[in-house]
Amino acid sequence: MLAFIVRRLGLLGLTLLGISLLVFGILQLLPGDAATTILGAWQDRGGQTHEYLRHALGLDRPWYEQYLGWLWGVLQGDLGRSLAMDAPITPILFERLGYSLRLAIPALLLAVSISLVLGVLAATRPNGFVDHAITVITLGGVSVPAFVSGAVLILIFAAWLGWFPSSSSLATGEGFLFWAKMLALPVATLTIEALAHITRITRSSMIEVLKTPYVRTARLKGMPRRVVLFKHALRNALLPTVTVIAFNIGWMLGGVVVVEQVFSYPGLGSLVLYAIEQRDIPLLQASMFFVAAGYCLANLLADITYALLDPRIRY
Amino acid sequence: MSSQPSTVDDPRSGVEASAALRVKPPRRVPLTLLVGGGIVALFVILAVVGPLVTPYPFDEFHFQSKLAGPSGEFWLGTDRYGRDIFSRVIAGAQITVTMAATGTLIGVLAGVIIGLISGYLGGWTDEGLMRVTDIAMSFPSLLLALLVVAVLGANAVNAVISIGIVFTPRVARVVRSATLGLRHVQFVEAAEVRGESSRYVIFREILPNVWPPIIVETCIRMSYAVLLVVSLSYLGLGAQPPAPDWGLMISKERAFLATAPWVVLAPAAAIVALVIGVNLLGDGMREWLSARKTADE
Repeated sequence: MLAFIVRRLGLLGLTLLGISLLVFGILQLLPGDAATTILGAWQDRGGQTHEYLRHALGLDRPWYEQYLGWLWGVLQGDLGRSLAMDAPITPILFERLGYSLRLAIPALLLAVSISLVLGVLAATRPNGFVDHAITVITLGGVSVPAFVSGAVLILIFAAWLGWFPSSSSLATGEGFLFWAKMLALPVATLTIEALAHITRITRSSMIEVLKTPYVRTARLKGMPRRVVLFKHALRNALLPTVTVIAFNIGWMLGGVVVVEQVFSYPGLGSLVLYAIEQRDIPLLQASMFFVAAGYCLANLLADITYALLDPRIRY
Repeated sequence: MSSQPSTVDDPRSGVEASAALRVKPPRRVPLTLLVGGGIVALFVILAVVGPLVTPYPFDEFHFQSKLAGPSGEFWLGTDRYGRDIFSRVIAGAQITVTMAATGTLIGVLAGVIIGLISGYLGGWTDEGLMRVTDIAMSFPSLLLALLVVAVLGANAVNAVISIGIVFTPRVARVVRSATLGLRHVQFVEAAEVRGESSRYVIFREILPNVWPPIIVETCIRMSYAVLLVVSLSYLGLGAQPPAPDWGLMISKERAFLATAPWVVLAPAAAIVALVIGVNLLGDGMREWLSARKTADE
């Protein structure tokens, strides 16, 4: 087990290296560089200031030197300096990560627990009424983009009922109740999205598992239905589900861009968008790398969970 | 080995008897495939003739009736400039359908070629190509699309290219594993023994036999493509105003959600209907093709 984890960690390191190269490489293709962005409207005629700035920022060095310099900083926990905010990036990223996690963790917990129950319910009687109802609802769920379900939730719960705020300005207020009220709608939007995906997978893998001989044996030897369902079947059906859950973690870490945009929520996703709008290359580079790293880490956790759940699996 | 006799009402019986024996008549077309196919066909028709049949030009201002509710004059109401929402939603089908289809096509084409080459040649080629796809796939799809659009610039064409880039490694994976399964079957080895070139073996022997997974994957990709297109437009990184793109309409008009819900609900309904249609089509296609496969064996 330990060797397995160590090997996976090594692989993770290599993948992260690849990601950093990809992000760095792609952003080199951007027209204009950080110096152009800083100077903005103040481009001088002779280009002397521009040259000077490029030199000061180290942009006139060959790309591999810049890359290695950046990588060395990353290894020391220094992700560079944001041009648009004129501040070091690392603390900003962790602050935004905190906000994003406050959104993603409750949503993930809710989605996983509800969808496991729904998936099992649907699978116990395939093609029954409950199954059809759940299938239709989850098909709807995977077909509705987050900004649509978010808008509908805002319309009902913010505009008509007035229970929750429609956007998340963090400036006003503290305390649990404040946070709960503010997070309710974004968390609900995220939950709906993840819920549908996880339920669909749980259902189909449960149906497969319930067909296997060992489940029938357990049933025939007179075991209570509940024990067979949750102890024998669900444990095996969880395997593909774990992958989907991991996928959802990554999606929540980075792909929450849309949900954060809908609710003007200051998480990692909106930071990425801000970096794109401002053409803030160092910030974009850092936040993209950060999110991709989080996604890989989630996948690693999923692989390890996978191996823990199923002793047969060793890569 | 039971060969399915061609049914009496099979239009191909007689004339193309040999073809009918090779290509089995479809077993039973699943309902999901019919419904999904119908919905998608409707949107494709709208995409072709949409701009011709709208009651008003999609960008015509009616300043007398800004944010008007649904009425006989404006079936789905108007937006803040008094533009007819119904006309905009109908005209928008063209943008969304074209963008999603083109993006999918680019991704599937590139993915099929890479997957075939990687799976057939194996060795270092395979190793290298697969490591690159690994890295590309370690980004959440929307994020990779954002990265590409950030570099290329925010417009509809670049959004389509970014979708193609996002899909390529995912399709390549599927095609590669299907190709691996055919690597050592007799007709492939026979072609190799005949001294056929790799290109011949890949495109004439293997490709015709990996169509089913490619078709299913294409359908799945289509539904993601629609979601990506509207999401990118919503974020302001896809089609640009005044294009009647559904995602763009929702993002530009959402400030009026409380007072004039139709400005958001109409394009939202169009998006959901299209994605449900594509999803049903994909589910049905998978069911149908796997049923045909078991019937063949």
